[in-house]
Amino acid sequence: MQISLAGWAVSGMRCPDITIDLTGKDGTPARVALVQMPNGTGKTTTLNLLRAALTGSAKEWRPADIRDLRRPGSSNETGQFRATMLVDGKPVTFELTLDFDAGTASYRTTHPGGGGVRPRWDPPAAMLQFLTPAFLDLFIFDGEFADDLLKQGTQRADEAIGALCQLDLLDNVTGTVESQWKKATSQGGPKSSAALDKLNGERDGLITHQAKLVKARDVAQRKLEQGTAEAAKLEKKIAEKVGSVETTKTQHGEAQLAHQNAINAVSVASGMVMGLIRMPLALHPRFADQLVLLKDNLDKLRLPETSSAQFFEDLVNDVECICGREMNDAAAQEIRKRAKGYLDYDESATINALKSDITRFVAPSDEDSRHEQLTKALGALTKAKRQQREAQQTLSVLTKKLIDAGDAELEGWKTALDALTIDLERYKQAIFDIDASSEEETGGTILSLKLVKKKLDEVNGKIADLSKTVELKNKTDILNGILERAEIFARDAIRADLLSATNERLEVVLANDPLRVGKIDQSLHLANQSGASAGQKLSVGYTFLMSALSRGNNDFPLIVDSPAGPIDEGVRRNIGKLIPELCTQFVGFTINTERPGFVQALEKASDDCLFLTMFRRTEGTKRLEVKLPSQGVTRTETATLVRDRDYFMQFDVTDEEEL
Amino acid sequence: MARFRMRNDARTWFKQIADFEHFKTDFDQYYLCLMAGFASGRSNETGTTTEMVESFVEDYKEASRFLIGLLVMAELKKAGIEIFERDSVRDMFKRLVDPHSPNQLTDEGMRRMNAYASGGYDYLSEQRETKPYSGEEFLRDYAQLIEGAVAA
Repeated sequence: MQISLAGWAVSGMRCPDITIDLTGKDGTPARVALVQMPNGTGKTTTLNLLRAALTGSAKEWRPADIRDLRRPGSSNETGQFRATMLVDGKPVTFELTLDFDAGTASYRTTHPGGGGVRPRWDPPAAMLQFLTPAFLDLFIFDGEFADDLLKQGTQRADEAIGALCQLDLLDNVTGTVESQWKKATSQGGPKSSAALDKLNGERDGLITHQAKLVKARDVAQRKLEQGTAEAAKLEKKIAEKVGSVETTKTQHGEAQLAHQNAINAVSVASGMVMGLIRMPLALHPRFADQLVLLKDNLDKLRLPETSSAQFFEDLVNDVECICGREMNDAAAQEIRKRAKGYLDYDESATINALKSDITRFVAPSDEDSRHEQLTKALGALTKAKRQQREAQQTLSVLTKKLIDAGDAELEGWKTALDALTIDLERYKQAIFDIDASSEEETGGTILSLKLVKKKLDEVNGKIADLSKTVELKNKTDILNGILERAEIFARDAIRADLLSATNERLEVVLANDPLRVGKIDQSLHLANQSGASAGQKLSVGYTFLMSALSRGNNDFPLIVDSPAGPIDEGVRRNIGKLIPELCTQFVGFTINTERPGFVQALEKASDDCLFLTMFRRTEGTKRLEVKLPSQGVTRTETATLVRDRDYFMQFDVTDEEEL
Repeated sequence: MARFRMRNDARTWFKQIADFEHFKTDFDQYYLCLMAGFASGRSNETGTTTEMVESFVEDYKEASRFLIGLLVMAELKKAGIEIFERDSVRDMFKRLVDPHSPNQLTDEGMRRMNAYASGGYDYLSEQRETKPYSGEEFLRDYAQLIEGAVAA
């Protein structure tokens, strides 16, 4: 891609209103264009506006910075700067408008492939990569930049490589990786491996505790079963003993039978009671009364209504209301609103079913009511319980009688049975606690297996989440490492390429000078010598820059402010001779004192030189207007532009203040 | 979907008779608490609870509509709504009853049902000096406790 600067136009800014056309002999931009402007005429402003126009960066300017570009003493609302570039011969125009009152910047872009004028900064896609501020610094700079490339301690050469190869794209990827990491972990919570270790420790603890509880339950269950069997044996032994001794034999047999019958009666009666209790109507007449009251009032209130909510929904879809009036939007809206108060089909069905149930269960019957049945069952239960208690007492008395008579064996069994009964209760309690379905922690040791399982699930969930986070962190670190190494490798490779390319060019442009670049490490380091003349440094700097810019078969203009500023005439001659060799377009902003040596050498090295002289139109510059050539003069309200070699050569104003 | 929930301390209270031969499911204990809540008019939405079933269990299918009816009556009374206030009664049904729900209750209806079970447990545990240790004994006492609650 060949990019060149065709010209620019500025109006309403601090620098004079002027249009600069850089067209040379063959209708394309002149190979060398020198724009001579006295200091204070706006060279720096013009270059800053050119940078802003090409990069779109004025959008980020502060309002105060924008207003500072308004011409002092002027009250114009806006200022414009238009830069015209040629990209492979096709024009691309960037137009920057500053609104001084609002303190804002706006852009318009025009290029053939862009479908006309676009009301924003919108260059062709292929050009976009070169229009970053860092890259522009490589071809729009002041004369000292080339010299700075060799200054030790600066990083100008590396910065140039970074801009040239757009290594900032790697930074962009790093930024994206970082933002994605933050986004993925923005929910808070632990993110580190240490936190994962802690959670794994917690999980291991819970698993161990879970295993202990399972084992404890097994032990309790086993002891309960063994103890129950043991208790049964003891009870049997006691019963056999009491039943075998002549003095208690008959009474014991009767009591045993009565006890068993009572147990059966209790079971039957309590089963009946529980079965009846499950029906609310049986539990207490008040519940039946309440339900009947509800049913009766629902009937009185005509609930559910014969009209349901669906009826009204159907109604609003008709052309006419049921009353014959037209169904308009207002009526439909009101009907829909009021219909919400009506029960729908299903709600009505539920209420009707409730009413039907109540009717059915409270209907007069020959049988006892449920409550009467419950009352009778409770009576039977009370009686059976009393009989059970009496039989149990009889058995206890008989046992005690034998123990009191000196039956040590029986006493031993009885003592063992009592102790065993306490133990069995303890085992039952332990099993109950372990099986408890408590969802809450009480703060002490967790006994509920279900609660341990719940906590284990929670920790496993956290570990799963954190594992994903840690995995993401590891991947992020790997990606950042790749990006870091990619930049190092890219820089090394580019340095090697540029070193070779720069030295090849130096062999041509400085054929009689053994000056070469030894290495590129932050700045340029000369080979075999620690110092160099100002001219040598500039030569190496320009050569390096143009080697860098010509990589990738791209061609850029070199736009330099004061290209031969602080150097002596001999060096200027060398630089002037060198520049046309390095680039296809050179635009230099100069003052008259830079001319000696430099301009002649440039002119000699290139047959397509354009000489422009510009100065402000003030009282002080009236004397300059007298000597203007007959052709090539452009005047605006604020400036005079002279396109003439001889005028350029004779112009003798260095600073505007002189005028 | 809201589910039946039982107070954790109620479970602990009942644990000595949890194996009572005529308790088929833990819904029996929930029901005993619920009816005590309806009888005493007490409801309580605080206290930690444990989730139970979503629908009325088989043993209570026949009674389910009565329980809903008693809930409506209890809530009408709590809200100070007279049984003959047509719109308010209809609104109460709409608030508490959802025919499309597995338990035929709205979320609010289920929340209030659980609140009466919780309030019923409060009543039972306050009235008895000790936890129940025998299923049969408790059933006999329970009938008297309901009688007392209704009479109060």
